[in-house]
Amino acid sequence: MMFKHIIIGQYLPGQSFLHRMDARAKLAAVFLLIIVLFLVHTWKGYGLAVIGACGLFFLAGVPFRYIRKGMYPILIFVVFSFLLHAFFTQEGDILVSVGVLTIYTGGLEKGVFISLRLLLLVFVTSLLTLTTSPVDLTDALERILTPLKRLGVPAHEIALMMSIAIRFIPTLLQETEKIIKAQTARGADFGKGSLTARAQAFVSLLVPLFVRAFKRAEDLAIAMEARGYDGGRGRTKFRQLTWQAKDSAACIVIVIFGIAMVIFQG
Amino acid sequence: MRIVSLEDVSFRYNEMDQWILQEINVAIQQAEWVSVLGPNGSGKSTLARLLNGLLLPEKGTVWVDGNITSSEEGRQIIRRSAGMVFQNPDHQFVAPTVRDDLAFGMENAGIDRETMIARINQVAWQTGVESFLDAEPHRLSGGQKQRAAIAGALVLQPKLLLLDEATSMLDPNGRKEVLATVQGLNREEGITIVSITHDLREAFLADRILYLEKGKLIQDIPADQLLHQLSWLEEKDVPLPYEFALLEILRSRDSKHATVVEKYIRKGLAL
Repeated sequence: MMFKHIIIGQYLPGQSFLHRMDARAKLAAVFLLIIVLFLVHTWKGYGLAVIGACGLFFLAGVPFRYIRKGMYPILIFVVFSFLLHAFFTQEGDILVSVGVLTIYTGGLEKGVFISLRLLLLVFVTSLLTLTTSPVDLTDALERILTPLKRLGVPAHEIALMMSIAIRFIPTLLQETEKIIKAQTARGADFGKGSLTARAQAFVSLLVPLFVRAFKRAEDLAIAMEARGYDGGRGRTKFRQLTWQAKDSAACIVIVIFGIAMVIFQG
Repeated sequence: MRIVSLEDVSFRYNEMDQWILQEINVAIQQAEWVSVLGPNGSGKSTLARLLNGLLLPEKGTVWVDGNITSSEEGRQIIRRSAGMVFQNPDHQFVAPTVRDDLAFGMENAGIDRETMIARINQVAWQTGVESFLDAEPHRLSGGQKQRAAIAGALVLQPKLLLLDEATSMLDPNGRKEVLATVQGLNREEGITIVSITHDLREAFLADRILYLEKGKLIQDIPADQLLHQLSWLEEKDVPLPYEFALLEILRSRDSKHATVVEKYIRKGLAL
């Protein structure tokens, strides 16, 4: 089966420090680190960020190959943005000049910074998803959004929607596989032909997929109602998130590290 | 003790449509197993949805475990006392793991976590799903998925289990494992079963069989008695499984072998 080995949310069960941290703390920390990464713009700053990332990697206890796997899909964007900055940013001294192409030291530096920023962003978010189960993540999101309920933000509904979306990814992939097989059996070819022909073949795949997805959504809504679902009112939680002292400590360390990085980057 | 009571129930989706069910009167006793047979479009699934309060009758009343489906409060109680398992196992899982899915109904009912854990463990053992409690539903076989769906209904400790063609998408082994689980729940736990089915072998596992045709209840008969009136099913164009057809032929010829075949059928029904 084509999609049999797919891992959703790429969660790797474990007992490392990051695994045992409260998902809310991890979400908050990642959010903070993302902001910090956008404020860093010097070699020293990025050096500190890489050191911090190594520290987090050590605390996650996750084999590097899993993080590498998460980075593959964005490599093309990293290379593209590096080249874009290297060739089109005209700052600093001229490093190389070949014909119409001139590489400036400032451009090269910017290219490296942007690439590093992208890689670090994927790195920290990968650590989050590798050490946190999708259920804990959606639960954490619901808890974090709960105070916003007063402003009309449907926290429970957003979390449930995400949880159901995660749950149905493999099912939809299996469905896609079935439709591809059924259409291939009737002569469709998704891999050959001109770009237009491939796009047309893709449409013939999308239509039945959407029809089935809507039918599935309707059936699921009935099944949920049959099990007493009536919105978030009066619901209890099976999964409990427990905020411990180490979660507060980790958040404080991340805040201090982030501020230090921004201030001392020079 | 009566657990389900349909009194002069008629249903249609809107006033312009034809009646899906007309003047249905049925009473089901606690711990009884009732199968509902009938051709497509006869109103079988609608009947199941009326029993869970998912649909409300236009005329008449539906009572389940002393609660009427027309009241909002009654419906919430009924959804706990009448668990429902649907045809497609893939269309009824809400959570990413079986354990979380079992908890879903209890979360809706506002049950505390300790009780949830205890019930999940108990029901998992009862339905044999404990070995894949932490599995993602898409990794399970059809039979395992349906047993997990049954477990999801059982955690609410229902008195009534509604099976809406719950075995129709399963292979023979999956079907057997689900029916064995249901039979155990009925015989040992005293849970009332209402199973909507097209499968005669499954229908004859029940104590009683209802036959719907064009929204009308035209037969309400003990399964044992219907086993002696198989020609009635043939008249209704219900295809008989080969052993039932053989029994009918042998009986029509007054063959002494009819008893042997009947014994074989009954043995098969014991799962």
